Amino acid sequence: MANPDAGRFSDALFLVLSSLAQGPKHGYAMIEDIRAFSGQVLEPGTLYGAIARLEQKGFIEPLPAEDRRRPYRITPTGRAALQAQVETMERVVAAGRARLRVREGSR
Amino acid sequence: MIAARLLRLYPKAWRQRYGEEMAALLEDRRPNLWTCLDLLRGALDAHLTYHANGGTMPVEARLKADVVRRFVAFMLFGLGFLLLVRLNDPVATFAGPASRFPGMVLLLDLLRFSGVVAAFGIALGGLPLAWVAVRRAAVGRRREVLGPFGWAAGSLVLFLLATLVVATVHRAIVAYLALSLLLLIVGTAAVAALVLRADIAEAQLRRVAIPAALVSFGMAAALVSAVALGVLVSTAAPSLLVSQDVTPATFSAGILLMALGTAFGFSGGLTVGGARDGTHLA
Repeated sequence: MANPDAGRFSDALFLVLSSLAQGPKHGYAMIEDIRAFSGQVLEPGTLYGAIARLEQKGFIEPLPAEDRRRPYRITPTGRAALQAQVETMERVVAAGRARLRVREGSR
Repeated sequence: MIAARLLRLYPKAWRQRYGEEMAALLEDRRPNLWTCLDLLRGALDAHLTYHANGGTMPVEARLKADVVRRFVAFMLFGLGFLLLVRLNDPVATFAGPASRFPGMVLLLDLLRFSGVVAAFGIALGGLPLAWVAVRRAAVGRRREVLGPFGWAAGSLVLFLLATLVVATVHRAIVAYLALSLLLLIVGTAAVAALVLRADIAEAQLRRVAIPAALVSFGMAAALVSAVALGVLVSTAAPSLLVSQDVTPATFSAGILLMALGTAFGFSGGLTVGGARDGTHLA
């Protein structure tokens, strides 16, 4: 079944989960990583809003704090949710590409 | 540092859980105006949606939080809107520049029309919800719901009375503005408490989707009109910004409040997660 959130690739939760899929990170490292791979800058209020939601859903979990900075890591449930989201988006992208090719071929 | 002080606006449970690491993050980065605005929005969002005991927030609670967020956003927008709409008063002063620049009249009309569209959306979505909430609370004699309703209704009545008095006697404008601001804050808080405590079915809460889209559209269109009007007036007829009702400061504050309200109204898709169940990422 189609996921209604399929086009939400700029969503803060998706960005944070994608960042943590690479390995555990604390807030500042997440902001820098997300800026590097997506070009988007998450401000602290938005970042921690996303962290709180992902934590409450059980998609990420906190690790012991290192000098006031607490790293987070993705959980197996979070990895599965991210995987499902990415697959949905890939289907949408593939469909979009195919339709663009058809349109270009018909010109 | 202002940004660090804004952390105090977050709920206590939130600060106990995330305060230290957020403070450390703010020390690592150089906060700017957007950081402060983002923290303000985040603090309100945390008050509406954060559950310290963990677990996914029930769909109904999230829908209610979304309704409250949209209402607060509209009130913020409305405050800014009211600071701008009297640009053409006195009419005789406005008539000269308006005849030279017809676009000014068009933009002012667009601003007003879009604001009315947003207000209509609020009434269309909010009144049925308020009716259901108050009727059920009255049947069940739920004081925790009827109390906020009394405060909200009382604030509205008092505001209308004060407006009538000031419009008649043309005195005590500063006191009227201060009272209006106080009533706006009390009324908004009361409506928020009413919605969050009321017994409203999920299906009824979902029906606000179309009025909510109308509100968002109205606020965005009004904001664009206001910015364009601001640019046109400040370049073509800056004298209009110095009248008994409008100054450069109030005009700028009006646009800023409208922008804040509009941004907050649109921000739910990013962080509140709106009306979705727990299976999706957002």
